[in-house]
Amino acid sequence: MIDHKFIGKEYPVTEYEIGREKMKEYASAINDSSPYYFDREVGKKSEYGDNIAPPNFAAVYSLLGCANLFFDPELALNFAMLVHGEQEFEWLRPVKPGDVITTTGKIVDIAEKGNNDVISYEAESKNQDGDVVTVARATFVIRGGN
Amino acid sequence: MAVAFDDVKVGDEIPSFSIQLDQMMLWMYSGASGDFNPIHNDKEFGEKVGLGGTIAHGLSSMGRMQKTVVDWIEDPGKLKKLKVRFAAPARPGDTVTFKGKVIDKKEEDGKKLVVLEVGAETQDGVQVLTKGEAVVQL
Repeated sequence: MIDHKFIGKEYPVTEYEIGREKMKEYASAINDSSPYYFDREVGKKSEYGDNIAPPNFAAVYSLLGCANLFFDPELALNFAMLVHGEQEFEWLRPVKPGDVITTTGKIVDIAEKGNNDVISYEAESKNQDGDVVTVARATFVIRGGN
Repeated sequence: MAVAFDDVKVGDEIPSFSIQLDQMMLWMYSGASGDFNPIHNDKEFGEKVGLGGTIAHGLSSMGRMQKTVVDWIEDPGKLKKLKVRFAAPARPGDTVTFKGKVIDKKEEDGKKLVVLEVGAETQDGVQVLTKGEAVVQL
């Protein structure tokens, strides 16, 4: 069982700069060939004025801070038994090459379900203008309890 | 032509996407995402920890679910939300099919939103992504 006093715990802000080739590499890895990522002309003519990252690239920039949770010495999670249960991304605006994304992550819930412990984690990502781009909500399950 | 709000009906299915996974795809996702957990990359390690080999990253399945929805709406910036449960792992050799179906249409704050139920399963009917939901703005 994980002490419920950690509900609300925040982790240090992470920073990630969106790279054009990196976001294209991610798109290729999920077999997404949308011209919105790859074709400069399509990007320029779009309402975004440039290419945008595939939405699920949030898996990279918004979940960076998860390592801080997984290896938090206070929580001492049994990483070998940890599995990703659920994931939700809410996208408020697209991210583009050169955007510098800062993300704040926190524990929003700790619960016991059967033999398992479940941690709910939420991360909010903002761009360099201070606009929220993505909210990520994840649950991680410690099989057999921590 | 991109799909138009008025043409979408509750019950419509979006074109599905099927792909047979191989180990190279898992390595590619590791490199692209930075997630080098050996359960995705090292067959012997996967066997040793009782997984019967490597398993695909859950987030790569979510990514291919995202691709399936984006292929339908064309403009990736119109995808507003995607939620999935990682119900079972997909493995190299599996053919995974990603599907979506319109379950609601609504207007909120002047935005025209379409809600889809989404999910993925293998050729054997193993449910890889369940309780999935996507929201797109058309």
